Amino acid sequence: MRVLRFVWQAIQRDWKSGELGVLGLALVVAVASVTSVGFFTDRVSKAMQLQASTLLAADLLVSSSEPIPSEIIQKADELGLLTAETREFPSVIVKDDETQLVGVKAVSEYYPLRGQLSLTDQPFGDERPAGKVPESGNIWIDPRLVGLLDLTVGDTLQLGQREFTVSALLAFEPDRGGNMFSFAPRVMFHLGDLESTGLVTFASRVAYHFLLAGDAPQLATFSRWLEPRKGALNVSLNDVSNARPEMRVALERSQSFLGLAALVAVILSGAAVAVSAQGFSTKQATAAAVMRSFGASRHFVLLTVCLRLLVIAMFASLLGSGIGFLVQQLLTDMMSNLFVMSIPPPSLTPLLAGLLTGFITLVGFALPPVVRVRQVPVMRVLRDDLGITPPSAWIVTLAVLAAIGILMVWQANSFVLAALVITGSVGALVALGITGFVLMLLLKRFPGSSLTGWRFGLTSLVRRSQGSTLQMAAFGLGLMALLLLSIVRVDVLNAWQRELPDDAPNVFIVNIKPEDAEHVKAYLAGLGVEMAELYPMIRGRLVAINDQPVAGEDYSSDPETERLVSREFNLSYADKPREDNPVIEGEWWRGDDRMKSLFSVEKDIAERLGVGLGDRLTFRVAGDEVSAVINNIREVQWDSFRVNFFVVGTPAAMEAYPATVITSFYLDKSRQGELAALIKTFPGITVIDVDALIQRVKGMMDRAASSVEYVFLFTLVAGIVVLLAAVQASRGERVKEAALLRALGAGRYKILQSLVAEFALLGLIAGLLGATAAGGIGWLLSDQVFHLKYDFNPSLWIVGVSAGVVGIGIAGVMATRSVLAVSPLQSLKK
Amino acid sequence: MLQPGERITNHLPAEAVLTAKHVSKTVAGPGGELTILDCVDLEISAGEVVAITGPSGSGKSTLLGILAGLDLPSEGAVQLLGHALVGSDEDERAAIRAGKVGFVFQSFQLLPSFTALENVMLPMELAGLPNTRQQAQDILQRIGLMDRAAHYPAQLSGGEQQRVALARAFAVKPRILFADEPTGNLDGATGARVVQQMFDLRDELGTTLVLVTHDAQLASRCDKRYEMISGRLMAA
Ligand SMILES: Nc1ncnc2c1ncn2[C@@H]1O[C@H](COP(=O)(O)OP(=O)(O)OP(=O)(O)O)[C@@H](O)[C@H]1O
Ligand SMILES: [Mg+2]
Repeated sequence: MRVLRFVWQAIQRDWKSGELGVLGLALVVAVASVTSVGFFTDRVSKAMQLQASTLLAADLLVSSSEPIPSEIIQKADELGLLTAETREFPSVIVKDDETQLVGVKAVSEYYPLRGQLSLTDQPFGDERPAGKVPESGNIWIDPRLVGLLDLTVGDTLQLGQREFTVSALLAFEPDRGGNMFSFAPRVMFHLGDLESTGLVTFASRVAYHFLLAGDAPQLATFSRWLEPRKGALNVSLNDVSNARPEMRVALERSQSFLGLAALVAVILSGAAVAVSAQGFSTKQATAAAVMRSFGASRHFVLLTVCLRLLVIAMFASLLGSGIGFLVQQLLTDMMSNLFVMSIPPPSLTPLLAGLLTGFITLVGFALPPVVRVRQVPVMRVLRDDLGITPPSAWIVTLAVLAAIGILMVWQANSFVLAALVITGSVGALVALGITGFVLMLLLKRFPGSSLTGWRFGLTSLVRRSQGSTLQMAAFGLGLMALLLLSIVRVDVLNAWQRELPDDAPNVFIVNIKPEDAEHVKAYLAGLGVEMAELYPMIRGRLVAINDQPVAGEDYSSDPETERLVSREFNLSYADKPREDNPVIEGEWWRGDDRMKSLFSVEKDIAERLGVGLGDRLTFRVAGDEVSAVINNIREVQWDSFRVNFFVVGTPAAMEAYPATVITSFYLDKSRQGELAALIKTFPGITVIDVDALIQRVKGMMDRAASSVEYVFLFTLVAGIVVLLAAVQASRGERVKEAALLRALGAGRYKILQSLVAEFALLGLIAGLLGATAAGGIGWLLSDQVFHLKYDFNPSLWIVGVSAGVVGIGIAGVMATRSVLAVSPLQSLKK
Repeated sequence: MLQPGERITNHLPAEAVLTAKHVSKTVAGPGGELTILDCVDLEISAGEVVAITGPSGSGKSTLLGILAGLDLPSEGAVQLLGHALVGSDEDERAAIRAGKVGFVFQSFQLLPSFTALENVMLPMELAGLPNTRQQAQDILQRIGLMDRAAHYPAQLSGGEQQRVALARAFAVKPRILFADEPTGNLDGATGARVVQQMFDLRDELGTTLVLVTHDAQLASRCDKRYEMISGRLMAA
């Protein structure tokens, strides 16, 4: 009771005197940035998830080669999930005695559950959303069929035993995923008409799909229910994460970016809290000694200080969460026009996370210095020099790491990213500290110290070397964050967007006969496509690894690998390495090696299959077995939309097998109509327009980039608060010292000189260190997390140093300038 | 909890409240060991007024701190209000002081974020006494600082700060009061008033006073006088 009353009075005093102002401000900013980032990323990633769900046309997709078991449908109904059904199979349509292989898709009401079908009336014409599925008797067809069969809207065609009327061309189908290179032109009609075509017989190859959409908890319940029954029911379960690789990469990268922003904000605010807690604990040292000389126990002193902090944390967290929520609302309003659909409301988790952040940040960053008040020697009341021993570096590090670790779980959702940021920050901090210390030692040898003017400024850095090192680290950290956000962020985002340039290939032509390849190339050149690269493509099924037979079921623990192994791979062969396929292990074949049977395997598939250099893969190609040893591992940018292969062999290994030729290139949408003539000349080829898909990936990148821009604003604020806290921390001492100098007769100009010199030097060193650290982290991030090529940007150092010298110089002088305005007597009395 | 001192009052009314035996203090200095106190012996009975004088740097404040249990001697033993200070830990020593020992520091050590009144209330609060505000006001009234009660230390003059520090030491009506240069910053008249108040405290409550002072006149009023020279304590 007594403790509580005492604490309450102390807090009233803190409030009046502004004692805990900076600490409270740092906490408010920490919580506000974490909650706003949390709320915002929560909503944005929900929206992006939704957007990504359009790739499946659903949130979850159950597929089977047999009709979907009724218990699955029942379970979905039970859970109140939205459902739809599709069936896909290859068939032939007939029009005026001409036939064409097509991919049939019969769809139920409500398909697609996510995303939209787009229709058009002529190839490459204006698109409109479909809004529903085809009516009975109608059929929607792939625009490619217009060229292939001379079909137009209003024509009739025969499919099995049934005649359909073409009511529209199907311009876009959200879930047209799968194997991009093998599908035949699409025709789509109502599921109810399927029976009457008579095509689904016992033996026909039908893929049954059951689409589900709904709220996350129900979906999760459904997944949990189905997962263990998949094998017995002979179905597979897919969600967005194993949809198209291009989109998956985009989604993962944008989440990483947002997570990074949040993490950096947390660490920065933590640093600000730590710096101000340092100041707070020093001020508390004397009070603690006095109280103990009057008989207070260490326990009491510690308890009251901690309770005070706790109450402050509570108020700051509440205030911060409130601010965070408001800011987040503003942000989403700004962002909402970027999303096709409305942004879902935030969940309350970020609020909880924000409140906890306040406490965790306080405990992790502020408690270690503050608990030292327990150790203040009482004799401090007699001798001011008996300070508080600094907390053990281990305890500080552990506390901070634990705090970041806990916060990371909410914010980053990526252990690699979090580990990198933590290692990076800790490494940067250690490097900053060591470098600062070494520089101090060097400065100590600075000849001819003087007691006023700029030399005094420099030497006073040395006199306060411990404090200066700390400040340098704090300034460096702040600058590092600012640089990371202002320059590295742009560089990395640019590097990402560069991966998908405006002239990224948007048309694929597959099934080109090898003998037609040169003609096709010449025709394309006539259209102005010069760069069309032609690649041989051979289809083969993986049958053995190191002569041990393999089958899809061997990988049942990993559905995607299972799917890959059970299907045919697209193989290719090449003599020369490709620049955009860097070899990361082993070496591309040269000289005599070209005559051997060797494979080059893409990195991810090698990992999935668990194979590496020297392993032997065997594929069944056209009845033969092709076997070769893995000679190198390549990296492939799947989101570049260029033609890429999982496995590429030496010509010696594969030339003998029947191949088709595939190419991809960029052709402006307005000219794509001219490809119709090419199709007429070479009826066997298939032209695939991936413009729509590219636009969607690009859209996602742009959205991610803009949200990252906004989110990084908070981190910026947090960085500025760190700088403020660092300036604030040394303010008192400097003001007093300057007042003393003035009292002893130093002119205001001399004092200004020494302040400028001191802060500018601090800024210079911090700028250099911060820039180097930012460059290092930027490189690590691009290389390890985003898998992008990162070029060091020299402006990092230029901006870092000038921002350091000018920014910290001005901020420092501004913060201490009161000493020049107020009479030294007043400054000294405080 | 044990109430230290009670037992002493009951059993040994005029016995020693403070004894120091062979107390030495050495600290590690830049040029090797530095002896600050050299085998100090001292015995003070309840209600006695003791003056310690001596040149600057001779070790007076250090001795006072050790006698009050703020620090431990390197060698020797101290008994305060019947409790051996050597061998008890920080918190036990603090508990011995709570509510029974007053201290006036040479550099005042008023808490900057506390008003004058709050500074005076602090030791009473720590000792868990009731009515602290009223009592603190009474004390400030007595030392003539009632009109500065709501001021912060930075707003007070050096002498005023010293009087607040004295008021804070009186606040718990201590059984023993240590004062390091209690009149150092005060003019003759004010100093005399403060000294009178300390003696009143002794007369009313039997408080033992241990005073470090340069003021020969004050020293001459004390029951016992010691002089400190280079860490050695001698009767003067
Ligand atoms: N922890 C310590 N480390 C180093 N030297 C110390 C320490 N404590 C005290 N001293 C030294 O011991 C000596 C005695 O100090 P003390 O404060 O007791 O002197 P004093 O007699 O009170 O002087 P004054 O009259 O000036 O107040 C001084 O020289 C002081 O510098
Ligand atoms: Mg002294």
